[in-house]
Amino acid sequence: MIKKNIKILSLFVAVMLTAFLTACGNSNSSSETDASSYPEKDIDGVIIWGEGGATDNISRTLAPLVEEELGGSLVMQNKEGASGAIATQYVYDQPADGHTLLFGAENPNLYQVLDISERDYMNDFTPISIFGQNFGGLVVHEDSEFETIEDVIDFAKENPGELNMGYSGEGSLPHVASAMLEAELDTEFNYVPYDGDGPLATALLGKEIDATVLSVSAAQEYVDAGDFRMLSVINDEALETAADVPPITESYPAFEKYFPWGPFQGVFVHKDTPDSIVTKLTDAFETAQENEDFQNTLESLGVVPLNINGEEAVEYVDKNRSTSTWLLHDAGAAETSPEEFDIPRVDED
Amino acid sequence: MYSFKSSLPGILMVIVSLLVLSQAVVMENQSIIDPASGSFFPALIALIMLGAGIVTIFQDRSSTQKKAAETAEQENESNEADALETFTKKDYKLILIYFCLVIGFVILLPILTFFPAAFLFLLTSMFYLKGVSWLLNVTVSLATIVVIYFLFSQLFNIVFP
Amino acid sequence: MDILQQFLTPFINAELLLLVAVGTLAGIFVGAIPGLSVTMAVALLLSLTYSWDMLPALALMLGIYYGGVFGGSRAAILVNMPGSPSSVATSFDGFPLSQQGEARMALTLTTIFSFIGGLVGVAVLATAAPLVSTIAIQFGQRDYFLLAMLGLLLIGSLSQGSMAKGVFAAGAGIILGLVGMDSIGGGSRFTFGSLQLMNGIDFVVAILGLFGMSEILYQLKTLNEKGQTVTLKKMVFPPLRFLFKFLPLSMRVSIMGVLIGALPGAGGEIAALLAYDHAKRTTKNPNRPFGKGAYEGVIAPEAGNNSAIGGALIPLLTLGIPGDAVTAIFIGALFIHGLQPGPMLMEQSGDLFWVMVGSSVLANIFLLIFGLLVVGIFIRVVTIPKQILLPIIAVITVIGAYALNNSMTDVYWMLGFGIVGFFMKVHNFSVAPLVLGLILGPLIDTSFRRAYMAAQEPSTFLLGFVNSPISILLTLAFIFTIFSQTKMYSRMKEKMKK
Repeated sequence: MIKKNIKILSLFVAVMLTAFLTACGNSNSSSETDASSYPEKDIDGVIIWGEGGATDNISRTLAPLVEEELGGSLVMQNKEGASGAIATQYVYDQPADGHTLLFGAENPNLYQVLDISERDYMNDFTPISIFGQNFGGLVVHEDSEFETIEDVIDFAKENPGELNMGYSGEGSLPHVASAMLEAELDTEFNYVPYDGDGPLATALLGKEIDATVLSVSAAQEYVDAGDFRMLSVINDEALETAADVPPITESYPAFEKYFPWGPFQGVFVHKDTPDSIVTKLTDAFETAQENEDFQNTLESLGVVPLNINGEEAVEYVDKNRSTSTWLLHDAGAAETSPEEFDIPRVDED
Repeated sequence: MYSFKSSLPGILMVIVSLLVLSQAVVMENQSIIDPASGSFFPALIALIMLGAGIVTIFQDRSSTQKKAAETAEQENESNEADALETFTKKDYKLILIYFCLVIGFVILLPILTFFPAAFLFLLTSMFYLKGVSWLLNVTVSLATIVVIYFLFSQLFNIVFP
Repeated sequence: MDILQQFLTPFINAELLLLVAVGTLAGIFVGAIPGLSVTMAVALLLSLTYSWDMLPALALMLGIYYGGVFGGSRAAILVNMPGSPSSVATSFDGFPLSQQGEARMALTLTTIFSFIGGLVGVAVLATAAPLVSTIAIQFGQRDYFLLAMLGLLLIGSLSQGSMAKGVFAAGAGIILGLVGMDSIGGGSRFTFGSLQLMNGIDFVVAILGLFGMSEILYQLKTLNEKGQTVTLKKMVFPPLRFLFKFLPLSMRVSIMGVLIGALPGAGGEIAALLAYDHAKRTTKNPNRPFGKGAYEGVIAPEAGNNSAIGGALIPLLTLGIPGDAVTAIFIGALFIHGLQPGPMLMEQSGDLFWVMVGSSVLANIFLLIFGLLVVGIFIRVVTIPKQILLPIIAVITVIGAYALNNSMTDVYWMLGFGIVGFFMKVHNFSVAPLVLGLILGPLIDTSFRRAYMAAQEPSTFLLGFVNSPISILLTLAFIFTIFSQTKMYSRMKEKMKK
């Protein structure tokens, strides 16, 4: 009886081994790709956040436009988890032939210092295009006693750890923005974490938290409805969409050096992807983004279009990384010092 | 011997909860006594699980003692015994081999790609479970794969391994 | 007059009518196939309908939403494989019913009461949306904690046999639910340094394994035994008296469902679990004991989860806040079509609101029609010989587990859960508490910690439980539910009767 079982099992193992070996043999022989025949098959677009987020919305609306330019099909899938580190690792592990694209936000810039993953845009990926950027605004409830950003800062200084500041996870916009305040102004907040802009807005509506940083476009809706008051825009100049809200540099000029900074969305490929393919993709994404409907989509999402690529995009991502990582480090939120990864400080370059 | 066997589930429960508890204690960057930290709640749950395990040991022991004492009255326990007994060695063998087939399918899936792997799996498993004619077997296998492929891959854009 | 016209738009406009119908029908099948989720379907439609007008796109998506939530119960009843977390509770009594040859009864009953639940949801959405959303906003973290704890008390009724084993299983479920990146501190828990585990364990994967795969293995035993095949009872339509008998229950759980659905942090799955709990506590003489095929046990969760859809649309349309993953995509759709979902939405585009309400009513009507029509198709699943059915389900579970996150790791998890679930079944350990813990664990963890952090001090935290009306209400409900499970309570009840 047992003997028979062993026979079946060993046969099974043998079959599997052969199958495995043949498969390995096959995959080794097909790698050389050149731009003229690209794309040879469906391109996978991997989105680092789940369905329904800003990154998802932007990527999915852009995908059909890029398909037209490239003349192949671009299949989008969401691989959320671990702040996008799962998707980032996945794209990194695929062959560097331009058939797997990473649709990402600013998060991978922080993986190293937050000890989430060893992957990172600057070392492991080449940016194809940066679509656009968001801005954050400091908001309080309409019934709040705080009238200006100075009120908030002064209160937090006098009562360290008593002001409930909502944020959405390590390395998020509210987190880095609050770290900015802590680093420059020596304030101390009591952080209460939520799962994103929606829950943060809900918490502020229910007055569970005293203040938070929301993306300006999301916050503006509640400001118009008379629920929230926006005290300051985290930028060096006022925004068109919220013209009457002063930029943070108006109250605290020391912040100048951090800008331009903000959460961004873009598309990336593995750094070993052949240049010719990178160029082809870059051109396709550049033209696709000029579509008027897409520009309108960005606008209604509150994203300021950038449509930058090449060296410019690399510099942009690099600066964003320097600002965010050092801010988190100075606020004591980083696990490892940015120095260990040779990330320069913003004011040093 | 008999009492050890009956308290096995309880002992297993205690071991599992101790493992969880130890993992909660060694968790990095968390402090177990602070209710706001990430390890307080898991540790609390582990303790509750531990309690449940200990209770089970005693319950099982007392119930087996009762059982031994009044062998005539077995009505409550007999249900459980029934479920256990109806699983013969032959049943387990069937289930084990079938499960191995499923594992084989999962291992082959990324290697052979979906079509051949699923087809092979469906063919062999229906053959293994007996009672299905070859013609029906092949037709059903092909039809299933085509439907699943169409639904998942074409309609839902899922990239198969 | 305007409102009526907007409300009737989807009924009059042939295109919208057709799209809602197509959506609902497609949704039923998408929901019924384990591994395909409504969220995935709606996300796909987002790029597919990019160039469409807004109303047709929303009509199609709404149809899929209603159909999909309902469709999840089909697989739960027929093959004990809940397609989504919100139909887990349906499988507790639905599958036993189908094993006893009453699959047709279960499918028909759930269709009718899903329809009723759905309508109650829409009615509340249409008449009391601003009021409900004000209440929902007042719902603090502490209240979510209490709500989840109330759900957790279901262990008492779900663990057949030993209570201690049930508590242990629920605890194990909670721990499994906590695996992965801690959304509060940012650290990782129980991941053993693996990046794949950082993502946590998807509870649909667990459900596929614990219910689906383990059931396949369990059924192998009865494979060749003669006389084990389920003979379908001939009954075509449930007697009319059933409708009246279960109406009060379904109304109660539907109201509960809307309120829970409207909470941004809780959705259909919690609505369905609490509805099941409510049915079990309030039904005095079920046709069969709960867990063995009580009609009330399938009606309550289905009415509850369908009414939760109307609830989830409330914060979406009044505040621009998503109530669950699907409504999060609706928000994206509104953005893409140039609207600003937020508190101003009702003022700026009030017509949208009434068209959504109208489409919802329409979707429910189609749900009733199609639901009843396709019972005949679904019912065949039960009559397929197991030699053919089991391998097919095995392939679907494997592909389904993979498709959720495009991850092979999930497939191995599913297999692991399958083995665990199988042995639990063999040893009379109910798997339901485990799933309960998995669903509620993360909510309990985060809401408790957030509430504690926001309170800043232990004393303020404890005071909070009696400070707001909602918290007091929930605290009392919690204490009462625990009390009602003690012997003292039943003794007191006896005395009262005398």
